Amino acid sequence: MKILIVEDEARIAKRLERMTRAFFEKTLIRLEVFNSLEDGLNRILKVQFDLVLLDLNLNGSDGFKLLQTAVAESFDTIIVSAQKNDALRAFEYGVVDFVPKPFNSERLNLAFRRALSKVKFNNTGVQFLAIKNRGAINLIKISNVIYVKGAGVYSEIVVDNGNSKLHDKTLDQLNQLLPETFERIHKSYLVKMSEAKRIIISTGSKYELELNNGELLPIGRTRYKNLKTKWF
Amino acid sequence: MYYVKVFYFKRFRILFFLILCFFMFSCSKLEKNPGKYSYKLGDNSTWSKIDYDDSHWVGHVDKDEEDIFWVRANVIVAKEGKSSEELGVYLSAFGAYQIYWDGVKIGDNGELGSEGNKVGSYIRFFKIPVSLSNMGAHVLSLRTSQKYYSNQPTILEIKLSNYFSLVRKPLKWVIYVNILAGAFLITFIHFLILFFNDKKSYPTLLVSISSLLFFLLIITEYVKFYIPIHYSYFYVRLEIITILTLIISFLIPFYFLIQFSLSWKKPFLIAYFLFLLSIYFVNHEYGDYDELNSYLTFSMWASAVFIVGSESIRGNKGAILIFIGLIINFVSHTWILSYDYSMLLSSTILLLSMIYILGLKTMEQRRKYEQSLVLTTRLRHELLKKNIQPHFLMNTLTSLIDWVEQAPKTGVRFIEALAKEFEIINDMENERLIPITMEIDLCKNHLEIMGYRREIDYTWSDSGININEKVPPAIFHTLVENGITHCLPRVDGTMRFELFFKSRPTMKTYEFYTHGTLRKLEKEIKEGTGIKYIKSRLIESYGDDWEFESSVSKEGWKNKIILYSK
Repeated sequence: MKILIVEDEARIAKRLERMTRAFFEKTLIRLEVFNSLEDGLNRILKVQFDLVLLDLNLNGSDGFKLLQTAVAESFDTIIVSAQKNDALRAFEYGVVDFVPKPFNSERLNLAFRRALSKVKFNNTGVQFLAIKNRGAINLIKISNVIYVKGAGVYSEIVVDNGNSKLHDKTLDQLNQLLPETFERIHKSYLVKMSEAKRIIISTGSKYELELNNGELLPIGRTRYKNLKTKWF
Repeated sequence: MYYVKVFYFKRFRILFFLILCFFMFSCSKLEKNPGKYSYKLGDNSTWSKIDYDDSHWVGHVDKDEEDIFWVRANVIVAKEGKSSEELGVYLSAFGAYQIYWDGVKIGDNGELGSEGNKVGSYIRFFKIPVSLSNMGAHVLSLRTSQKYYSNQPTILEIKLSNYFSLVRKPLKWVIYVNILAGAFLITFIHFLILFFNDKKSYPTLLVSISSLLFFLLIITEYVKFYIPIHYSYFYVRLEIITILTLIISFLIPFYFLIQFSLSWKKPFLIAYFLFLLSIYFVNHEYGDYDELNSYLTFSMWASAVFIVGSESIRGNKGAILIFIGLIINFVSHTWILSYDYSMLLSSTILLLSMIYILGLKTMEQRRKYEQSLVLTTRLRHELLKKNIQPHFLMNTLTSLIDWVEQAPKTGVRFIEALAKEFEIINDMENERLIPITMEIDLCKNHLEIMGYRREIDYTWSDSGININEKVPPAIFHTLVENGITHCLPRVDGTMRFELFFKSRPTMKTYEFYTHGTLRKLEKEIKEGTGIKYIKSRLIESYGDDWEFESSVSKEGWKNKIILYSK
């Protein structure tokens, strides 16, 4: 695991560092601490991270602009913040967890477990996916997304106007963040089921999902049964 | 464009004023009615007869104080009266006399020849015998001496009419007028009481005095109808009326001027006062009282119009209303009403205007006071919330937990510092001004807390502090918070804060330095809630008499607070 901590309070940063090391132990390859997001972001450009612990109110600034930048990246983001009221809004942008201050090791470890397991949890209220676009961040509304296609370390997000955008996160990561209305129909496909019309079975046990817009997406053999029972 | 409009309008108004002046003067010349009265020195009883030939009598004689002389007036009874109604004569005259109608004595006034005791009145009513009341020409004659004002004419006015209506008419008028006088008396007392409750409110005193003056004016003007006034006091009464009018003519514009904050107050007042005095002295001759009073009144009206008009242009709705009232007043005075009605209408309109403005001002003062209370309450809340804002509280508690777990002894010191911060804030939360020493304690304590949190060495130093000085609560504390948030420590891991105090007769200066590197944009910091709090506190305690500057310096961040003394 390569972890980055961005926290401007030195004492709290030390606490986070201590607890992180205690949890990840030997699986921790890299752990770095910065006290400003600019420094942290600069580091991200140079070095890869899997997980970032981020405070929303660094040095009095408004955290949500920073948050948009963070969630567009390939790493999972966990917010550690003093403003509990920001939690709901933070989840709209697609963070793995929101740990309010003050925190103890149990709560922090729970967040780490969520990040590792990639299991969906019910309290996601994700509304946006943030996409990097030539130095700026664009927000895509989940309501406009039809499906997501895995493309190696990236994901391709297909939107209802036909466009598709590349996101730095893997399909596994997006699968965790997106709500229950999105179903993993294939190793490489994550579909919003309200866009699904019907299942088409062709010769040779070829399963396909027809979407409302006419597109045909493959259904993984192992996932077919589950899909049929759950949705049709 | 706006200023051009105002400029031309002002010019136009001056022109307008001059035209009105001209109008006024030409309209206001009261007709002096000397009447056709003939005089002859000496004493002969035949001189009262109707058929006596007085063609050689003269219009004026030079009489001494001791002289007895006769005055004859040829009068005409215009209408045949009803037999049940008695004819009467109203005579307004100087002197102690015996009065004859067609040779028949119908009465006397005072002690003719020996006027040592001042008996009698210059206004008298006499009944005319019915037998002599027929339509046609008659002769009214006076056998008289005129010890006082002997160079003045004897007869001022003669009126012939039904005796009862002659007597009753002025009294009816007096009744209504005295009701108005009563109203003025009450407002005098009312505003006087208000003034004693708030001795700083001079406008209230002015309204009270103006009411009293109007009251006295009315009483003095009409007292002649129900109290006998010896003719030697004739000019005394007129003089009193003129002085009252002079004072009112000054006070009314003066009042409007101090209620409206116009920039040319003082020079205008001095010029206007001198102008009034000059009118008074230049016109001060016997018999010209009416003209004098009308000049004074017109000056008052004109300057009131000018002042109220200037204020109306600035959009003051109250002033516009009064301006309309003044115009109505002028119109009614010049073209509609007689002098009496006009005076009463004027005094009523003016006093009502003054009371109206007083009311508006009082409401405005009250509103400002309430706003300041609201401000203070809001600032108190902001001060109290400083310690329970999630950002401060949760971060502090989190690092506190860590210290307690990892290094309990330090944790305890941390808790003690926190306790002290809460204690100081509690002590200062209800005050608008606190000793500077308390504020410095709060700042130093806060730096200790932040030191535990951020593990940066924060140091405080101050110089020139006067321990007797007071400042609004938490203003430097806010600057310390800002400094910590927005500045990076120096290379050696320290951040220094410095406070300097300088005192001069007209102003006191606090300079606050944060030694570090600025992280943020100047603009963002300047519009932050911290700075707004500081500025609100300064407004709360110092009104407009302060300055606050924030600037970047080579060493970091500099803040300057200047407090001006009045």
